[in-house]
Amino acid sequence: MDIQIKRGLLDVCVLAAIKNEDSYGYRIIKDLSPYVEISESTLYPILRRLEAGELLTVRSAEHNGRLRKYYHITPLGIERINEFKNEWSEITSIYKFITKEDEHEQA
Amino acid sequence: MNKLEFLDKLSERLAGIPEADRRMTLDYYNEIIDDRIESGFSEEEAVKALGSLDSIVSQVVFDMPAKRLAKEQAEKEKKEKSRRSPQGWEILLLILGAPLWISLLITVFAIILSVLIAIGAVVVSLYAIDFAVAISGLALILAGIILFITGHPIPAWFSFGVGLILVGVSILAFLAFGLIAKGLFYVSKMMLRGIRRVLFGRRNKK
Repeated sequence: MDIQIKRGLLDVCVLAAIKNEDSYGYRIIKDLSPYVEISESTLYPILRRLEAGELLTVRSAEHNGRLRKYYHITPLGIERINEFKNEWSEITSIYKFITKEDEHEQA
Repeated sequence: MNKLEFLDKLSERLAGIPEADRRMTLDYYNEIIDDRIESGFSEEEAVKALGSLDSIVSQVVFDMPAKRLAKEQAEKEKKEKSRRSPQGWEILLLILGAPLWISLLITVFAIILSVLIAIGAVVVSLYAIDFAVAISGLALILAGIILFITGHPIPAWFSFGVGLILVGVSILAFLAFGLIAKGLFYVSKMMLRGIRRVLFGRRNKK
């Protein structure tokens, strides 16, 4: 997938992964992997960016005698997901436009 | 590569970024590796799965706004400058402590000086004794000559003889004292060298 498009999509994907339940780095990657290719090194800057934008908050909790960071979605983060949903109709119309051009060429 | 090796290498590569960010990045990868191991990977596999260090470093650095990097860099430099200020405190302490260390220094020098003077005094007094013996010997010889001229041959011979003995003794003593003085001079030279080695030894080694 195009890096520019993916970049925007991944932000929303990560937010969606923590929407219902707080999650941690490795689990976010595992949960997303069936849908979108995301590596640890890609996830890290996304988490930092979302944290800086106050779309999520971070807390450390003990797990098996070590600290693990859990990410919690903020109202702003939920808003971002809803925004994306609204954008989707726009995206599908763009998709329709693009594929229409394809049909014209084929015809 | 095991976890610690990986984190060490990553830490090294991230040396240029702000300390807090470096710490955070290392924590993140530490956690990911631990979680991978927990889910059944071996340590080596868990590290390998993270991909190359180059891509990790570029992701971390690329995402940092240049403005913030510059700001943090400036703060880092400021911190380093303030770290140098204890030297200023050291200087202040040196000045405030002057009454103490100057008097101690003076005492040490006074002791060294008095030892040297004492050695010198021994040498001077030895020569003074020798000089006195020689002078009295010469005086007795002179007295002997005068007694001989004035017509007292027996005391004259006595005086002349004793005078000669004293002059002879003084000549022998002069040679002996010369050796003693040489010895004392050598001892004091060694002592000064020893003190210098104690005080400035380290500097000389450099």
